[in-house]
Amino acid sequence: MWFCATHVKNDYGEYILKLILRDIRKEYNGACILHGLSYTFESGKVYGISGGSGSGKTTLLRCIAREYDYTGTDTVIEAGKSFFKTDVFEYALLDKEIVMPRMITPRQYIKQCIKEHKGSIFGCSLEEYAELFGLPADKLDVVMKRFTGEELQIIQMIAVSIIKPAVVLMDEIIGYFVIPQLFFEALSESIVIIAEDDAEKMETYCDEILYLENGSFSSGVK
Amino acid sequence: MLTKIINSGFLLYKSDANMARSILGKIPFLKNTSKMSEKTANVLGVVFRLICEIVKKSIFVGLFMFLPRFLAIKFLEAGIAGFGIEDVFVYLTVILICFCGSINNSVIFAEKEADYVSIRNMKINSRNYYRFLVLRRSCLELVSFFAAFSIWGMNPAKSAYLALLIVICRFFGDTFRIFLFRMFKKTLPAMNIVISIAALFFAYFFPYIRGYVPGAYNIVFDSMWIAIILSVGTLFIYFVWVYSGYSRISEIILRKGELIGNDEPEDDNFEPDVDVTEDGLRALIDEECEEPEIDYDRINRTFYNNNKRKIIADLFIRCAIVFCILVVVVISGITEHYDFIYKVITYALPAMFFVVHGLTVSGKLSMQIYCQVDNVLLSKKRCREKNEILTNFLQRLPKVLALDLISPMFLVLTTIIAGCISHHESSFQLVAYVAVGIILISIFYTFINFFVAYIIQPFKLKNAAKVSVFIDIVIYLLAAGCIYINVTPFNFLIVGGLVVGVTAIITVLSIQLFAVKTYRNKD
Repeated sequence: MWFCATHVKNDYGEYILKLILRDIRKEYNGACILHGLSYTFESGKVYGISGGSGSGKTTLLRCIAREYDYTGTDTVIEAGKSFFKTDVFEYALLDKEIVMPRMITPRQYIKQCIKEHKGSIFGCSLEEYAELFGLPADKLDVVMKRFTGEELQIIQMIAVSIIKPAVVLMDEIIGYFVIPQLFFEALSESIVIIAEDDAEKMETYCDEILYLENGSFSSGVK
Repeated sequence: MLTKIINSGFLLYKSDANMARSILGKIPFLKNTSKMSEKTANVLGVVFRLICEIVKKSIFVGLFMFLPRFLAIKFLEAGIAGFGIEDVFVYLTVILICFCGSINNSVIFAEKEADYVSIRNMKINSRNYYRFLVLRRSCLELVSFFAAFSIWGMNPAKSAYLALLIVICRFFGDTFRIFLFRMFKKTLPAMNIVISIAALFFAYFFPYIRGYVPGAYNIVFDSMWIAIILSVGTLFIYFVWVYSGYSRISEIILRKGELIGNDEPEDDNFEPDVDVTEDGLRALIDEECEEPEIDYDRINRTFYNNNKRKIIADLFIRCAIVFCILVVVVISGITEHYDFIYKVITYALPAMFFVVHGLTVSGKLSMQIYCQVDNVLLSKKRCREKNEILTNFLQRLPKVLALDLISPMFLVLTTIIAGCISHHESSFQLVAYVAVGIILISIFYTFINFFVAYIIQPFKLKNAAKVSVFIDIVIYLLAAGCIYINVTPFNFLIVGGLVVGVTAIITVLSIQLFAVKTYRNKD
């Protein structure tokens, strides 16, 4: 099994990013959750993964983000000359279980992300940018240990929109709050994959929705 | 280059700065200093961290080096006469800090929250980040150990050299762990337990039965050894500094599951049987709370089904450690060291306080039960009543007692085998004392762990379910302190039996009387 994120040319000669999954297999307690799953995701699109409880959505996202180990047969991928194998630095996983620094303020955290990755916040001030995501400006100087899970999630989303990882994986979080369009605009060069039980919730955000059934993808609906 | 490395550790030094600022802000006449500039706050953060480290290291040196020496002089006939404080410091430093500490506490494999956030969330270059960590650790330990040794009366020049030796050994520990990681592609937590027990045995038990501290002092301060240590140390430092696999390490060890104590895949609510999932457990509790009488036995059974694999793995690790002791016993028997085996059994009972503490699982179990079952149960009003809490406790007690006894019973078996091998006339009587002692100590810990869980309730649920480190350290120190109990095995059993009885009564009474106030849900 291979993961590969690579810059290749599309039909119009533009460079795009491709995440190629090949033969992903995951077993747990003797039960096969992912059956040699294969798919190619492209940058500039927001993908939705839908499926019933136990279909393997979370497992798939966590395998991609290297949170879980996986097994399977190695398959050689031909993905152009600029092929490269990826590591954790390419992925951002946003899910309900959030790990954030407790003794840092959002201002310090976000500023450091901007500094480290030479990121931009669309010419806005930090206060304006935070408020666009739904975080009150007066909370920017409070240490994060006083924040709720939802507020931490927002700060993490702001950071992701600045860092712009190659692949952004969102697991069952869109039901909790409205994600600003700005977030997807900031990630226009990344691959965004959203997993949710309910396909209807994803329709507003996704360009393509895939159904995960019995550990493999069935055809899209959008 | 250095700026990049320092920037990588932003989270760590900024957290220290914010902590220092918040502490200063709470002191009435220093309130205004909390509005200081970022740079001043950063410097204060470093000073604050340094003071913390010096205090921590001084407590460590005092408790693990100074106090045992003091107790040994006071209570042992042989004492440690003829050896000064520096001898003890050097011997214990080599065993406890240089050997055990360096291998068990590598900053590279620490899997801390700040590491996860820095590397996975903020996408900071892992090589620079780990370089920052080793640099920070080296500076902090050099200064703090130097200060700690000097505070406790060691010659400052020798303290400085010993602190330098510790820093070099840390690099050896990192190198060793990196090699292990390259071989097994994972960290080996069981190895930490084995090394800790071995180090404590050599640090305390060996001098205790032999009555003297071996001559590590001469070796460490010998000029030829200084040259060898420094030159080999340089190689380790170079290896750790230029190692190229940090990205792979961070990919494998820095996982959310490890941090939040959820190492099994949740497999997207994959439910072969609804009762064996955490959600299933919650649903079952909700369902049971609707009934006129809550079936705690059913809830507890479901909890054990849910955590069967984790519990078996925990017990397996503990039995594996006992098996290592059994192997040593058998080897000693084959090499005809009968007197040695007999001597170890004779002095074993006080040390069993420490060993059995490591073998019991009730501490971890009571935490898991609290997080998965009781935290949900206690959110229901009727489950917070005095009688309900006691009924629940009494129903789960036999099972936990039984689970706690599994690995100590294996240790009892090992002691019996050791007694048979030792060929000593009075060994059977002695083995009987030790066997009963082990069982008593195991029961003692089951009650103590329940007492801590119900009355002190040291569990933190924020981000991760874990026991307060302070309580853990106190129990370990008390257990380690028991090594110095100097009574005959028979008297030990009499006193031990009484202590277990009193502990059991106090625990049950406390739960009946006070748990209604202390045992609360934390959601």
